[in-house]
Amino acid sequence: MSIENEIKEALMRHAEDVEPRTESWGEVEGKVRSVHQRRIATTVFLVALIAAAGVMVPRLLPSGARDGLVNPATTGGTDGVATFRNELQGYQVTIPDDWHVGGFEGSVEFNPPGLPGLTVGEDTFAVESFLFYDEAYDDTSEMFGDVSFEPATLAGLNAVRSEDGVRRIVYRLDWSGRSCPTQTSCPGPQTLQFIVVGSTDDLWSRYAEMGRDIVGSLTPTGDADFPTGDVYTPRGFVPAGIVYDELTASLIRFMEARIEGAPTQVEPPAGIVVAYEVLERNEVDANSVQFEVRVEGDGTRTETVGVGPDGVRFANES
Amino acid sequence: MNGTAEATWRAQIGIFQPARSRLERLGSWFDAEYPGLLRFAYFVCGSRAQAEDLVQDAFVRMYKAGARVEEQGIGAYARRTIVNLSRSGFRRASRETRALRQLDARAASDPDVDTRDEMWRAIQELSARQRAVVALKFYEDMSERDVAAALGMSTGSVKKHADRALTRLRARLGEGRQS
Repeated sequence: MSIENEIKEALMRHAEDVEPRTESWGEVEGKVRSVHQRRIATTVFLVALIAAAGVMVPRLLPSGARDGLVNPATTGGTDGVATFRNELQGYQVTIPDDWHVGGFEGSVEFNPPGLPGLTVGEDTFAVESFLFYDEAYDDTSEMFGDVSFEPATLAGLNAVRSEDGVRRIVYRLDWSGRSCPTQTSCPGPQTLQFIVVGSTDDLWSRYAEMGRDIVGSLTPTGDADFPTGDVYTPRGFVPAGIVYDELTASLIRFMEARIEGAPTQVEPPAGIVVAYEVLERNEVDANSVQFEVRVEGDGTRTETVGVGPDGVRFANES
Repeated sequence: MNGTAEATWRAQIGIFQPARSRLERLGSWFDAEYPGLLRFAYFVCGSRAQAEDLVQDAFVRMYKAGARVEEQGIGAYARRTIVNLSRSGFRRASRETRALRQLDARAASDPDVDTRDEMWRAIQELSARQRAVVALKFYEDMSERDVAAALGMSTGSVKKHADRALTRLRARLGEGRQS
């Protein structure tokens, strides 16, 4: 019997291991309702209606939002570059300010202007990142088979690197203990992986060096100064005019966890959120600030979110 | 908060119920796709409990994704989401999944569970993407082009994952197995 037939038989034998459960839809419906109906807890309270003219700043989320993520606007950062900062996974990189930020359910990718994301299936160039839990950085066999990797150092961390001559460079860093978005401790190894890939020789020759530079700019957030220009996050945008410090970082961590469905410190208001933009930051006192955040999901609205010594709290929504 | 304030506040934050039409459409998709996606998720993750969880999470994300799901195709979006969630740190790190895995581990140690299926166990040692390609290519009998569309990969990537999967399976199960 051929190995293909053996595989098929094995899969057929095990196809009945899982049986559809009649209550499954009810559970999905409950989860959907839970996502939609999260009620504001006692930490959330009404203040006053913010005058629409003052809040509904007609600033759009960066154009071309796709897949719940946002593309960098062309308003520019500093010297043609912007910062991409991933608070939950604990790293930041510098990207050209006209590149797109995209991805698909867990991955983040950066594409040059006008080129599609990897999942579209057309010719493109991309720098893709993904964080693996319970996977050692130097265990490459599962994903890459017999592709050879060489030891490397990236951002001062142990890494392996492969450039296999097929318009692809793979970097895998030891990220153990650096990202615990959904739990209080981080057992097991973690790997932050970057793949720089181009589908044609032309795209590769045009963008490979920029892709290398993006990965080369990697800095753990714990080692990085807070950014000063435009900041893109996996799901949002913080324009250059907003001071990015620990309080802003707390807001971003909350917003990203909220969109990911990870546990958050407070229950956010009802409604689906897939992307956001920080519109304003107002200092309340030395330790507290209040943000106006435009969120996009099942409609577009502006939320007022306070961040202070006690963490995040919702003050108002309009 | 008094009643008036709460009413005002509720009016401000919008309706608490998901849009009925959207939920009904999701339900129709679920009815049509659930059995196949559950099997696919099981082939990808190798765990009964996690497969159910992956499918449910995929549908919640499809609800959140709205029109993008229909643009990309329901089955394709769901399969890609399942593969990514199975690889994703968020899913794998969740307490819920770890608890479910413990249940699976207990099930695996159950003498009634078939642990003698060498090929099945070898398939479980492939990467998530390799398992996804193998499942669609060999169980669903999809062409490489259809597998590529279903998983959001190029046909070249599908071929590469399939070749590597076969190579690993042959190495794992013995050189005597040929195409």
